[in-house]
Amino acid sequence: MRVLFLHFGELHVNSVIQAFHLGEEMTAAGIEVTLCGQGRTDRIGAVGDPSFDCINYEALDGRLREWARDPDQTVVCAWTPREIVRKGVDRAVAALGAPYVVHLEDNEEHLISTALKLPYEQLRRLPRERQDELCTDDFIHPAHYPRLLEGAAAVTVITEELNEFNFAGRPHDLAQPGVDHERFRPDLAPAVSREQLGLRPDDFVLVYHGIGHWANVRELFSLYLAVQLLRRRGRRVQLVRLGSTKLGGVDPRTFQALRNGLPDLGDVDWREIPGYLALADAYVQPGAPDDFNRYRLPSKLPEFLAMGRPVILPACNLGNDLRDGEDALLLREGTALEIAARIEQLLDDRALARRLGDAARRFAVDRLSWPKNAARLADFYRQRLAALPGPVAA
Amino acid sequence: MNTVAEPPLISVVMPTYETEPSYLREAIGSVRAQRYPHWELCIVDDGSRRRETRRTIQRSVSRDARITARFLDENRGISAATNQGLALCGAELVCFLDHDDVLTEDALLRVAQAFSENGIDVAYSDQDKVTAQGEIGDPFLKPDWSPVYALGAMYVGHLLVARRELVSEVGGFDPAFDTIQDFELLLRLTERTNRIHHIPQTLYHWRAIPGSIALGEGEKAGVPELQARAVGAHLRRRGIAAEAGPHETIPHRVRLRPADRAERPAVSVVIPSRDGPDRWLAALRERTVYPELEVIVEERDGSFEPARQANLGARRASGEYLVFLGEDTEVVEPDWIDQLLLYARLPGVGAVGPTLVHPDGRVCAAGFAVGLYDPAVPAMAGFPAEADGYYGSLSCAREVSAVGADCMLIRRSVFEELGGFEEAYSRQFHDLDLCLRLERSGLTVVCPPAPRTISHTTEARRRSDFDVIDRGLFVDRWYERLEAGDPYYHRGLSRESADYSLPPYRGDPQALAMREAIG
Repeated sequence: MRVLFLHFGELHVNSVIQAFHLGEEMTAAGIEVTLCGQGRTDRIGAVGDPSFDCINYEALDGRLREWARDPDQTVVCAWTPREIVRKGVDRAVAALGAPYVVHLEDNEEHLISTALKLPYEQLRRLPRERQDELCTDDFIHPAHYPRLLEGAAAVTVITEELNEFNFAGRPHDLAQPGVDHERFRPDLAPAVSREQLGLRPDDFVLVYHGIGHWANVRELFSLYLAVQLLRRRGRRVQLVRLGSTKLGGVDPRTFQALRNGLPDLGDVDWREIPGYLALADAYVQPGAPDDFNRYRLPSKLPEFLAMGRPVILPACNLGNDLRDGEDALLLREGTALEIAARIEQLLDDRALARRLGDAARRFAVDRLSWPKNAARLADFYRQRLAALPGPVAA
Repeated sequence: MNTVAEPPLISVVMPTYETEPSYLREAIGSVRAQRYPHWELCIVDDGSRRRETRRTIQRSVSRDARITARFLDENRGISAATNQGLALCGAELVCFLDHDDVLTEDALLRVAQAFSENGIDVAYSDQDKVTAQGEIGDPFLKPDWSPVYALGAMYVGHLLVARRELVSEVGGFDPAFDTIQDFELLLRLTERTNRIHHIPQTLYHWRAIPGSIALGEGEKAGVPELQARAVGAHLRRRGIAAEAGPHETIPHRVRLRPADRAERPAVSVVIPSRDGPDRWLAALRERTVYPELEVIVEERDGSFEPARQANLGARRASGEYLVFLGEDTEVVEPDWIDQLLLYARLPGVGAVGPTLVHPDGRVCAAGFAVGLYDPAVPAMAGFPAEADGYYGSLSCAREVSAVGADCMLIRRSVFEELGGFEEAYSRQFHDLDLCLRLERSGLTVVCPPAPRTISHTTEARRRSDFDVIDRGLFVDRWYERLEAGDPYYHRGLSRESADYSLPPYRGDPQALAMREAIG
C-alpha cells in the first residue's frame, strides 16, 4: 500500500506532528508513505527526522507522474478539506484515479468564519466570485468542500463530533493522535533550571507551548489573564511560554500588557520541548467547550497528559474521555475566572494535583499510542481499498 | 446573485404630488433597477396639476407591468394618498418611497434577506442624502432598534419597510400627522411589535431640496410640535406617566418629562466611599426632593473596592430602586430621581445612567460604546453638553450598551437576580459588566441627557484607578460581544473614539465590513 498525505500547512506546523508520527509508524510497517506540504521540505526537521519522503506541492505533479505507471494500492489522504489540499486531491485523482480519504481535524466552517469575521451562512450566500476572492488556499471554499467530502472513499476524524461534517455519510473512523511515551515522561530533568528563568523554587509553574495565532488568541488571552488574576491575589504562579505569539484579537494592547513579566522563551527546538515541559507543576489547555474546541484535539494535550502532571482542559474532545476531578480538571466555560479557580484548586490541594498527574500519565499510556493508532488507520485504509471496485472521481 | 429563501413580494408605495419629472423618473428608475425581482410599485398621484408629473407616471405604467398607478382628483395630503397606495398593493411587505428619493440597487434584496432571516415585522436601513445636483453624502449610520431614542428623534427615517398586514391593523397613516406621518406610523407599529430590525447598510438616498426636512431642520413649520404631539399620544396609549414636549433649543427633538401623576417608589442611593462623605453628599441631601429616599454610604474596609462595597450597600438597602452614585458625583436638579425613574420604568429598560458632565460643561460620558479599538469608550466625551450630538444622540435619551456606576439607577430585584456587581473587578468595569449582563437578560440600558449630573472625578484619579487586569477581565467575559461591535454605535463610524465621526476613508459601511472581512 502507498499512502500520500496531502497536508495543508508548512511542514513544521503543529498539525504535521500527527501526520509525521503516523507516517513513521506506517513506514515501519512496510507501507510506502509520502508527505506533501507547503514550502521548504527541510522544515519537517522541526518535527522530527522522517524515514519517509517529504515533498511540496510544486513537486507533487512529478511524483504523481512517477506513480501513474503503478497507481494501484494508492490511498490519498486529504489532511483537511482546505483549498490547497482539495486542489492537490484533484490532481492526484486525475493522475492516478486513486481513492481519497478526507481527514477532519477542525471545524473548518468556524475557522474561516472567524478569520473573515463573517458568519459562515453569509459567506455561503456570497456570489461565487466573492467567495473565490475570500477563500484562499488556507481555508475551505463553501462551494468546493462539500463536493470533496461527497466524493471521498472515506472520512477520518480526530474527534467523533467532526463526523457531523461527513455530509454524505461516507464510511468513517476515528484517527486520534498518540504521544511518544519515552520522550514525554514524568521523570524528565528540566531543560533549564528555574533559577535560569528567574523563577523561584516555590513558584507554581505552568508551561504552554505551540503557536499563538488568530484561532486560539482568545484562549491564550484567558490563560494569561487567569495567571495575572492569581498573581494579583498574591499567588505565586508563573506561566512559561514556548513558541511564537502573534498578537491580535479584540484587545491586543491588553493582551500584550498581560504577557509582561512572564517568561517567554519564543521558538524552541522540538527536541527540547519535553525538557521545558518538565519545568511545570501543571498544564492548562485553555478554551471553552465551544464550536471551535468541540471539533479539535490540540496536539499538545497528549504531551501534557504523558508528562504526568495535572492537566486543566476544556470539557470536550479528549476531555470527554477524562473524568473531572479524577483524571483531570475540566473547564465548562473556559473563562479566566474559571481557569484561575481550577489552578487554585491545585494550589490548595497538592495531593489532588499528584493524583491527577498520575491519572493523566495512565490515560496517555493506555489510550494515546502512535503504533496502535497508526495500525488502526492503516487497517481502515486497507478496508476502504478492498471495498472499492475502481477509481473514484473527485 | 445572492439568494433569498422563499422570496417575499415587496410593494413599494410612492405618493406623488407636483413632482419634478426628472426626480420622479430617477425614483421610479431606482425601483426598476433593483437586483431583487419580486416587487411591485404602487404610485398614487395626489391630485397633481402638473401635466409632466402625470405623464411621467403614465409612461412608467405603460412600460412596466409591475407598476400600477392611481390618480386622485384632488390633493388630499400625503397620508391619505399613501393609504390609497396601501389599498392598491397586495404584497406581504410594503416599503415607502418618497417621490423624489432614490433606492440603492440592492435595497429590496437586503430587505427581503432581512425579513427572511430574522423573523421580523418592521425593518429600517441607514440613509444618506442626495442633492438637487445628484451629489450623494451626509450618511446617517443608525443604531440598532432603539425604542427610547425613537421617542426623542425621528431617527428611523428611510428606508422603512413593514408587513402590510401590520400596517393595516394599525389603520395606516394618520392624516392629522402629515409631514411626520411615517414617524407617527412607526410609533403605532411599535405598540404592536418589538420585532424591529436595523439593516446596517445605506439603502436610501434622501433628496435634500428646498422645502424638504432633509435639507434643514426648520424647513417645515410646526414639525417639532407635531412630533411632540405624536409622542405624547403614543405615551398615553401605552399608559406611560410622562409628558412630551419639543426640545427647548434643538428642532425636531422631543424631551420627556415625568408626569405629575407618576408614582414614586422608594429609592436607595448607595455610595461606595473611598475618602469619606464629602460636600457632594451634602449637596445630594440638600438638593434632592423625593419623598422616600434612603442614602447608604458604604465605607471601605481597607482598600477601596467599589464593586464589593456597592454590593454590601445594596444588601442593606430597602428601596425598590437602587441608585449607585460615585462619591465625586454631584446631582444638581431637585427632581433628578424622578427624571431617571421615568426611563427606568419604561418596558424593557434595565438601567438608566444620565450623561455625565465635567464641571466646565463638557461631556464626560454619554454612556459607553463597547467593542471599538478599546473595549469600552465613553461616548461623546468632550462634546458641549447642550449640543445635539449625532442626529440627537446627545440631546435625546437613547439606548446604550452601558453606563457607569458614577450614576446608575436600577430596580433592586433586577440587580439581585443578576447577583450584583462582579467582585473580581478591583476598581473598574464592574458597572459596564453589569450592563452587559442586563442586555444578556433581555433588558436595555438608557442614557438620558438629563438630569444634569456632574462628575468631579479628576483625570488623574481615573488614570490611577486604571487596572489592566480589570480591563482584561471585561474583555475575557465579553469577548464575543465586543468582537461583534456595539449595536448602538454603527460599525461604519470611527473606532478610535465614540464621537460618531466617520473614519478617514469614510467608505460606506458595506465596503468597511468587506474590508474587515478580508482582514
